Amino acid sequence: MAHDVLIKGNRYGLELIVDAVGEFAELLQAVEKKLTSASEFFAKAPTPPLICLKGQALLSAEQKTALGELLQRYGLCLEERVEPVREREQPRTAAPAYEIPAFLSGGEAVERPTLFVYKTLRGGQEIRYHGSVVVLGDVNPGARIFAEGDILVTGSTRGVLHAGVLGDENTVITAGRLAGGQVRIAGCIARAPDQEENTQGPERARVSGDQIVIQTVNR
Amino acid sequence: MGEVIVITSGKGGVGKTTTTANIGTGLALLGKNVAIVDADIGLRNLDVVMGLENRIVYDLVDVAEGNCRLKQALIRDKRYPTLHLLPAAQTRDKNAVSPEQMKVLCEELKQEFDFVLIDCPAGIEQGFKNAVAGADRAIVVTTPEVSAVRDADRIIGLLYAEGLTAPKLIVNRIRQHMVKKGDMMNIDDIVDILAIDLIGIVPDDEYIVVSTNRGEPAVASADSQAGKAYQNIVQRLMGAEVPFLNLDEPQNFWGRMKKIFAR
Repeated sequence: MAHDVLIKGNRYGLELIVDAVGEFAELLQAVEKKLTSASEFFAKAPTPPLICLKGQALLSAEQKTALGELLQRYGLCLEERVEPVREREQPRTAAPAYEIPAFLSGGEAVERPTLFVYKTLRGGQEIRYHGSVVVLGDVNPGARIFAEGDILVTGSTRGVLHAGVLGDENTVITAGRLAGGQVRIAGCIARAPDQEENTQGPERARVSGDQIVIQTVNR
Repeated sequence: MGEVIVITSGKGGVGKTTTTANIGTGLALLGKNVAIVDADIGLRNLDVVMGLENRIVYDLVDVAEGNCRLKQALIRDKRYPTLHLLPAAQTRDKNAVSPEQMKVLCEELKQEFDFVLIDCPAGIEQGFKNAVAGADRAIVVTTPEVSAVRDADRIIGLLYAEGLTAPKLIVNRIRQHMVKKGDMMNIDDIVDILAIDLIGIVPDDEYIVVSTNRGEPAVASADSQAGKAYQNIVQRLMGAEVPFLNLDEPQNFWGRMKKIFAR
């Protein structure tokens, strides 16, 4: 797959925007090509520019280091930025924007970037996101969601939902109705039973041991 | 200024062409100026269903390429003077026309006609893109089969992407006795998955085969169940509120008699 690599400047430094997702090795090549063609521009910079990664690419820790090393050879530092920093003076590794209250400190609350989808996902439509995904609608057969974090579908789902794609087994998938398709969490896969079951109310899938268990959500 | 409606489905063989022919004829019966356009270039058959095959001189590709004027390519129907057909080319393929050319063509047809119906080819490739390019509204046809509903869902997603955000649904070839036995998907299941407005339910009717072979759309026949369903769809397209056909009703004489005595 051809990678569309774009370098853009903003007031904090440079952004590397990678849109297509495919083999990581190809992505590295595409980035290197782009950097070579722009190396003269970087040489003129007064200070080593910071560069941050944007786009749809989901990267694991090793892949991030590899990309960082590549950028370093061109005199750039890789800077991962989850939320835009509003003030120039504000340190980049700032305290979280929201302080999780002490009564939720046992892991009952996790702060993560979240994508809200205000429509039904239809067959052939796919979402990849580096955080949690909330769908206010249904997920129809043939639609797919890959999220680094949790997935919540308010309607019924018959598609493929993959939470914790980078291996986080603590992520959960919640749906108004798990009507079919597949749920995957980290490395585990579960599929709907062949016989349709009558279920009441919303259900949640989580990893227990090495398999996925599905429970009704008690309100 | 008229309206361009594309009739599409994703899956092949669900009745796009039959639906186009019947809705077009139904609108013409009500005195509307109608053009039906066959966008299935290379596999044309709307002309056959309409019984106008041997009157074709120029086709859609000729118009798009400027080999003839639009008026020359339009075939006036032999029975209904306000119904016109723009046939597809048989010797070319879907790449012979571009979406831009289709937009221009639709704009031109809209000036002349109250309704322009476009018969979309199966699939989601170039032919689909051409067919929806100039459309103002869309009708999605499906049958009560899982595969057809799956494809309809995909098509609805693609229509949204093209800006056609309120497509209407026709469920074609429903067999009420199978639905009752639980052997066929029912209308509620289909509408539940697709979540768009239902505009028609057409029962499976042997008369459709007869009318297709004869080149006379069923909508003009008084005693065909499917024809009646198409008449209702036409009414709903024009904005009227018409209840859906009661398919449970016994249709033959003895069935009706039995019902009277059963009271």
